[in-house]
Formats: sequence, C-alpha cells, structure tokens
Amino acid sequence: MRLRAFYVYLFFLMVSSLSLWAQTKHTITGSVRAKTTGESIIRASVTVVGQHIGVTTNDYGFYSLTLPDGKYTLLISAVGRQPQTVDILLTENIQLPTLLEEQGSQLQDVTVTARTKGRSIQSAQMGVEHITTKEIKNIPVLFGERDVMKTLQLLPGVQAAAEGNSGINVRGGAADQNLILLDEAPVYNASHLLGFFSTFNSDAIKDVTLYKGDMPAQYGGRLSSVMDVRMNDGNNQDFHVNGGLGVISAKLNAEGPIEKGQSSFLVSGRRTYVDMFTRLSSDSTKNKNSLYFYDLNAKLNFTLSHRDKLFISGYFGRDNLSNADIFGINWGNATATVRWNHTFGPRLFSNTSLIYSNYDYKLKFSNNGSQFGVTSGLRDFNFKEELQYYPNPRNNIRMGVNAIYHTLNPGVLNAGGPKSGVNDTSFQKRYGLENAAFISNDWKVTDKLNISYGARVTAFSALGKGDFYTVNVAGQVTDTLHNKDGGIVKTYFTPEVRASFSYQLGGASSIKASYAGNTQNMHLLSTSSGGFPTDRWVASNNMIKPERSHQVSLGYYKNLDEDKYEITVETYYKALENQIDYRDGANVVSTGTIETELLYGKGRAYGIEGMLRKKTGRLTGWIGYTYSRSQKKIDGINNGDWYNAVQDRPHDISIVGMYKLNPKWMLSATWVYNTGNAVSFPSGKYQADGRTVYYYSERNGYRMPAYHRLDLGATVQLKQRKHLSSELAFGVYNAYARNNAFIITFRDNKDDPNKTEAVRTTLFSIVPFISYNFKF
Amino acid sequence: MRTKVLSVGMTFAIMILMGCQKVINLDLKDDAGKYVIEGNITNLAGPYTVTISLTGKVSNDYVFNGVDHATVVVGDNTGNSETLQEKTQGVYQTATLTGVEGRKYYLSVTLGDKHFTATSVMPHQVPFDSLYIEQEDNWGKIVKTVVPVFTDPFGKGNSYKFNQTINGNLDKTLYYENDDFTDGKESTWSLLRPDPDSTLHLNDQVKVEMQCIDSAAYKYWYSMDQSSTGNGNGLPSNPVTNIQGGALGYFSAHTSQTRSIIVK
Repeated sequence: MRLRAFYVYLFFLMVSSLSLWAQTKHTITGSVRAKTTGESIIRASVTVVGQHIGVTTNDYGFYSLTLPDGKYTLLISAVGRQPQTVDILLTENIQLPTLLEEQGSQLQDVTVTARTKGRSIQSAQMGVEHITTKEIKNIPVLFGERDVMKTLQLLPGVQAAAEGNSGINVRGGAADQNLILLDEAPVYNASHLLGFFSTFNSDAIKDVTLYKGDMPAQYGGRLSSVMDVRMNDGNNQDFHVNGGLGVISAKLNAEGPIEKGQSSFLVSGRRTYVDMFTRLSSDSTKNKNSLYFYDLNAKLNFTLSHRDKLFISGYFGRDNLSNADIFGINWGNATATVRWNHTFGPRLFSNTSLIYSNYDYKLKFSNNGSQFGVTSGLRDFNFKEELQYYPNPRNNIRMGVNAIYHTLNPGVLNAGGPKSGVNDTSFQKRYGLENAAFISNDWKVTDKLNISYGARVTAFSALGKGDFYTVNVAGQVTDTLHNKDGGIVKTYFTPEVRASFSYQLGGASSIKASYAGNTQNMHLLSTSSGGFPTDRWVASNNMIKPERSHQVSLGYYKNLDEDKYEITVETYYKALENQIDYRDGANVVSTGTIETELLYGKGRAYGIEGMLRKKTGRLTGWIGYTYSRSQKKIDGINNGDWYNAVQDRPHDISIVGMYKLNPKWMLSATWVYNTGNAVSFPSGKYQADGRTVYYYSERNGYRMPAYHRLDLGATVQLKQRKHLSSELAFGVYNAYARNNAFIITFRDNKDDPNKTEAVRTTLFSIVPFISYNFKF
Repeated sequence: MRTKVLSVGMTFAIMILMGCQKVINLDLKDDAGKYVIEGNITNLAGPYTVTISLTGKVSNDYVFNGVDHATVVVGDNTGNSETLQEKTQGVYQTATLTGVEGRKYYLSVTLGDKHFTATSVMPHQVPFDSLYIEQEDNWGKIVKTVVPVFTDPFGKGNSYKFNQTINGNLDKTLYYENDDFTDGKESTWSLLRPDPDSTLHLNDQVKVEMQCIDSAAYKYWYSMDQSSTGNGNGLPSNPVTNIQGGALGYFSAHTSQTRSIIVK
C-alpha cells in the first residue's frame, strides 16, 4: 500500500514537471559525431551559452533540445574533441548534425587535455565511471594487452577478482553481480584464459560506462554494478586498417564506409599465440598442451532515412585449453544485437533491440581409448524497447520494456564409444522468463538542484517442463513437482525504486545522494574467485529466490584550480537479501538437484571511496583510496555468524600517473596496494585413513598477505609515413618483482610427512612486455 | 573424477603461466583439542578399530593424541552389540563382532557428558576382478599406472574407495568414485596420481584395496578431497561427517578386497 502511494506520488511529480510553457517553442535535434570517422559521440554536451541549459547526447549520439523561439549560441563539446559553437535563430524545428574534430591527431591521440568535463558535478547520477579506449591506451597492463576491465580496476570501489584477472568486484559485490553488456547483450563470462584477459578487444570498443551503484532505471538484473560497453560503429568516411603485435597476441581491425557518410562496417579480430611457443618447447608436459583464445567483433550500421538507423553487431569468442590426449575444454560467448533507432518527431527517440546471447563450454575426456564429452551452457533471447522523451530542457524521460527468455542447460554427458565407461546422462534444462518495465526522469529542478527518479518492475517466472524440488534445511528433497505441461512454476514480482539528487554548492562543488533497489534472478555458483569456465549459472525458481539489494550513497564533488583537479568522495551502504552460498562439501558439478547443495542468507557491504584526479597538463592521473567491507550471514555457514566475503579487502589504494614527455613519448606508471582477501586457513590438523586433514574453525577468518605492485610503461610514436602511423608500447608488469600470493596451500613435507608446509604460489614476478601497433 | 580432472586443469594452466612456489611461515590460530573419531567395520575378520583423538597444531609434527576412558559401543541391526576395549590410549577394538554385507552398524561414543553417534550401512560387495598396468599420458608425460577392474552392478547408489600401496608406502591420493555417470559399466579408471612426475617403475609391488562404501562415506571422502586437504582447489571447510554430536572424522562400514601386482 505504501508502495502504491509512492508510485502515485511519483506519477504526479512527473506530470507536474512537464508544466507547459507559455511561449512558442521549437526543437533542435541532431546527432554529434566525430569528424574524421563519423562515429557517434556518447555524452557530448550541447549547452546554451549564457544560460544554465543544456543536454547531453544519448548512447547513439542523439540529442533534442526544446527552447522558446529566439537567438542562441550553442556550445557543443565532448571529451578529447575540439568544442564548437553554433549560432542559431530558432523559429522552427531545426536539425543540427554536428561533426567534432579530434584534439591531437590520429594514433597519437594522447588525451592529456581530455576529461575537461570529467565527472559531472551537476548531474544527479552518482557512482559512475566513464572510460574511453583512448584512456586505456596509456596504462601499462600485464603482457601489454590493453584491457578496459583492468583499467576499471584502478578506480576506487572496483577491485580485481585475483592476480592478473580481469574479473571485477564492485563495492564488495560478487563477480556474478555485475551486469556486463556488450552493445546491450549480456556477456555471461567476460574473461579469457581463466581470467587473464577480458572478452573486450579494446580496438573494437568505443566507450565503457560503469555504474557502481545508483543504476539508471533502464538497467536491471544484477545487484552490484552495470558495465555498459559500446562497440565502435565503424568509420563511415574512410577505409582504415589498424592492428597490433604483442608478446602473446596479435590483432587486426578493419573498418570503413559501405556508403560514405551513411553506412559503415567494422571487423575486429584477436588471437593469442602462447600455444605456438609452448609447442616449440622440448618439455613434453608443455608441447603437447594447448591454451589459446580468439575473438571476433563485427558491426554494420545503416542510415535508412533521416529518422531511422539500423545497427547490427556481433561478438564471438572461444577459449581452448587441452592436453593432447586426455583432456580438453573449450568455452566462449556469442552475442548478436540488432537495433533500430527511430525518431518520432523531434522530441521522441526510440530504440528497439533484439538481442541474442549464448555462453557454453564443452569438455572432452578420454578413457580407455574412448572419448566422451560434456556440454553445458546458457542462452538468452532478449527484446527491448526504450523511448526517450525530451519535453523541455529541464526534463528527460525514459521508459521502456524488456523481456528475456533464458534457457539454462546444466549439462549433457555424451558417452561416446562403448569403451568410455560412462553412460549418456543429461540434466534437465531450466527456463526463465524475465519481464521488466521501467520509467525514469532526469529533472533539472533549478540551476542548482537536479533530481533523477524512476522505478523498475521485474517479473521473473521459472517455467518449463521438468522436476522442481522442495528441499528442507538439511538439504534433503522432501517433495518433487513434476511440471509436465511446461507452464509457470513460480513468478516473482520485484518492484525497484531508484532516486538521486545533486545540489550544487558554491565554488565548483556539489553534494549528491541516492538510493537504488536492485533484483537479480540469474545467479552464478562458483567455488573459485577467478571465474572458472565451468562455474554454474542457475535461475531463480521455487527454492532459489531473487537476490535483492538496497544501496544508499552520499557523495561530495569538487573541481579545483580551474578544473585542473577534481576531488570525489562517495560513501555507500548496501544491504543484500537472498544471497546464495554452497553448503560445506557441496557437489558442485555433477548434480541434477543443485538446490540440495545451497544455503541462503543475507549480506552487507559498506565503504568510502576517495579520488583526487589531475585532468590537464603534461602530468595527468589520479590517486584513489577505498575503505570497504563485504560480509555475509548464512545459516549453516560459520555457525550462522557474520563472516567476511572472499572479496572483503578493506584497504585499497591505486595511483595512476601519465606523463607526456614530448609529442612522441608518453610515460606511465601505476601502483596498487590492497589488503589481502579474506581466506580460510586451517586452525588444526588430524589424520583420516592415514591422510592429513586440516581442521577449519571458521569461514574466511584469515587474510592473504597484502598485495602491491608497480607497473611501468612507455609509448613512443614511430616515424610517420605517408599513410602509416605506428607506435611501440613497452614496459614491465610488477616492476619491483613483488612475490604476491596468488594462493596459499598446505601440504605434508616430503621428507617428514608429519610436518606441514604452507606454500605460497606467485603467478607473476617481473614480466616485461612490448607491443607494436599500426594504423593505415 | 571429473572435478579432479578439472582442478588438475587449473593447476596446469597456472603452471604454464609461470607460477612459482615457496614455502613460507604463516601465523595460524591454534584451535586445538577437537575430537576426531575414526571407525571402520569391514567384511573381513575382526577385530575392528575405533580411534578417538584430538586435533593438533598445524605447525607441530603430527602425533596421534589418543583420548582414553571413552565408552565405545558398536552394534548392528540384527541385535549384536559390543562395548569396545581400549588397547592403547585412544585405540578401541572389538572382540566378537563380525562385519556382514547389507547390515547397518551403529557407533556410540560417550566421553564424560559428551555423546557422539553414527550409523553406516555395509554395502553388498562388488567383485574386484583384476589389476593391470597401463601407460598413459599424464599432462604430457607418459607414466605407468595401475588400473583396478570391476563391473558396477545396475542400479545407481554404488560408491567405491581405493587405497594404493606402492612398495609398502601408502599413496596418499584419495581415490573414490560413485556410479552417477557409470552405472552398470565396467570400470577401467586408473589410479593416476596428479603429479606428472609420478610413475610406477619396473618391479614396483603395488597393492590395491577396493572398498565398497555407503553414500555417507563417499560424501566424506569427496568433501575431504574438495575442501580439507589444503590443496586450495575448492572452498576450505571440514569434511561432511556422518558423526552426530560435533566430532570430526567418520564411521564407515565397508567391504574390503585386495589385489596385488608387480610392475613388469
């Protein structure tokens, strides 16, 4: 009831904010694009000079600005682009396409002057980070493989899942609580080679936005964060090829117009070649094995009319890990998105998306000369319709619907030949229908006060033929529902409210506050922290309830010294419900009744994040510090007491510096420090059947040693030839060769088995890298 | 079996990615003095043994720290029952009891005001047919291993454990399996040690014990292997015991057959 009253209130708030204007008004619409490539620019700002009025472009570079008739000067600007001013006389609706020139030229587009806008202190949006691929370029990373996710890890509130790993934990959230979207398609396993690389080839990526909390209402389905990755559209002016050769991988990217200025294509591919080196090894434990990945991004876009644009994009990636004879696993994602932009008149923008996403893995084994295999995966069909309505410069309304049909295949074992010693076995598939509707408004109440508010309602239905189990607290099946007709087994309705406001204080500073509710119906069951390909996704059903979260945050933002510096401080508290964990000794792979292996409880995460950023000058970069905690309380684990989640790492520091020595040379350094993971170490030992067994008195009661590392990098522009520009990037990962602990294990001493040794495994000591990148 | 292969795969990936290992000193909390009960009943002639001991510090050498003056009773579902005699400190033995396939066994341990109980059903014996030596590829190295051969009877619910002794030394690898995926099949899984350098050599004497265990015992060995052997594969925790009352350890009634082979 209270909720309904709130919605009624919300409705009136929305209607009242659309108050009619007395004067005659007309609308300026347009798209903002890059001059040299024709790429649409996201979040470009279009402001009326001399007034506190403006809009920013949406994900397709589109904007709409309705003003009373009159003379105006518009300032159009974007990160890393030369701003443009346009004088207009508004007496009728105007179309104003804008092409912005880049600052700097071609490959050496080092963004020293970038980010002049940086984090908006006006917008009500909190907890958001934007990254363009230009910013990724100069930050040194493992093997020199530029990676957007590893760059994100250097920001406050975002942590690496493990050493060298591209997985992220955002504000104490689990790895599966990040909604990772590639051109709107959810990517279920965003890592390659067991986590050392992300699935995002930086050549094909235009823009990445990470919401660490306070997600806008158009996003839903995960508790901790939304990472919205947008691919390049492809250059619609000229044909270009660029590529790179690195220590472990090579990549090539081709793009160009299909019809100049109207349509374009992009194809981008990448493959690692570590396996080619290991095959040269004389050591048979190395040369018979293979370990590689490849991926492919492709995109087409067409201008159908001045009101219609069509985008078709796809991703395909595959990893392969195998030993010649006995074992092999390959896994990967495939996504495809078809989007249609349509403008219904100057103030209403529509985007319709059809999205496909698939993740699967295949295991191959050999026994007794016979091969057998296991296949498992997950597939989504997804429809999305979103409208953006720009009634006046003070309001931007978004509304939409989304329907996703999930199919989960927990596993099919194909016995192969009669001698393999196993039987054909298959676990029942699971199906889910996830429907959502949302509405939100960004409302500029006054020049100083912005309010953003919205609501999202999700209905998740577990359906389909199959057996659904009722499981008691002891983990035993007490009842089985045979859903023969394939209808709905259980539906969960979860309303979510999102609201935030910002208020500008004097002296280029502002405060913001927000609340966001979230729901998650797809859950990843994992025993590893690094995202193992066989980790299992499950959907909400009669036993597994939707995970919920409620996050409140408060922030302070200040720009200093004429916007050269920026200070951000954000603090948050997140309450989590229906969190899932494995029972002790759970059978994690080979069970059809996974519900018997699970326990449910609650969680909490809180912290404070601070960042000082230098945005201009020869030296740019930032210092970030985070204090955060993440804990769980689940009956049946740790005697039902609160315990630290694996990702609980209270202190986290990152320092990133980029120095432009001269137009040719760019130097960079990053240093990171964090408290070790929470981990379970033994507190005693005994023997069972002659084997040493360790005794654990509590869950995650210990910590790994603190982690710290310095990376150094340099990029030099090589001599420019007529059509070819190229650069060399090199550096070292872990420059002072810190032996960071990846894992600590315990074993019997070889000479005296009654003694126990603790063994620290370090993955990477000092690792130099070099890569060559070219463009013509 | 499958999870084992997977975890080996993970280790292998780390190996390729230049992992380096070092023995370090760790300051661990000492939560000593937990009761550990280990009881085995077999279809072979007795006496059968139940041991009661206390956990020790991780940093200390392992010693069997037996607990005396316990009242230990073992019985079966046909009315046999016997109080065990303490032979040495913490080691309690039966005198008359006979293990029989298909019977359910009860364990009761009383220590002052503490009381622990457990039950275990001795499965029907599945014949252990033979042993042979084969060469196989262990992550790139050709190694010699031994293969125990038996045929799983039709109908799910059979579980097995193997102990391998090479030249009198117990191989501490845990070998266990159930018939979730292998129901009714002839089993030819080798006893492959995870270390690629582990191979059998000419004239090695290999003795293999095959146990038919119940599902609770399978769960114990499975969960011990997954989470309690310190190898870091899963989430560390204590094995899932079938002993009620808060003790560590297990009570297992199982059949036992042994075959031997000399590596040629």
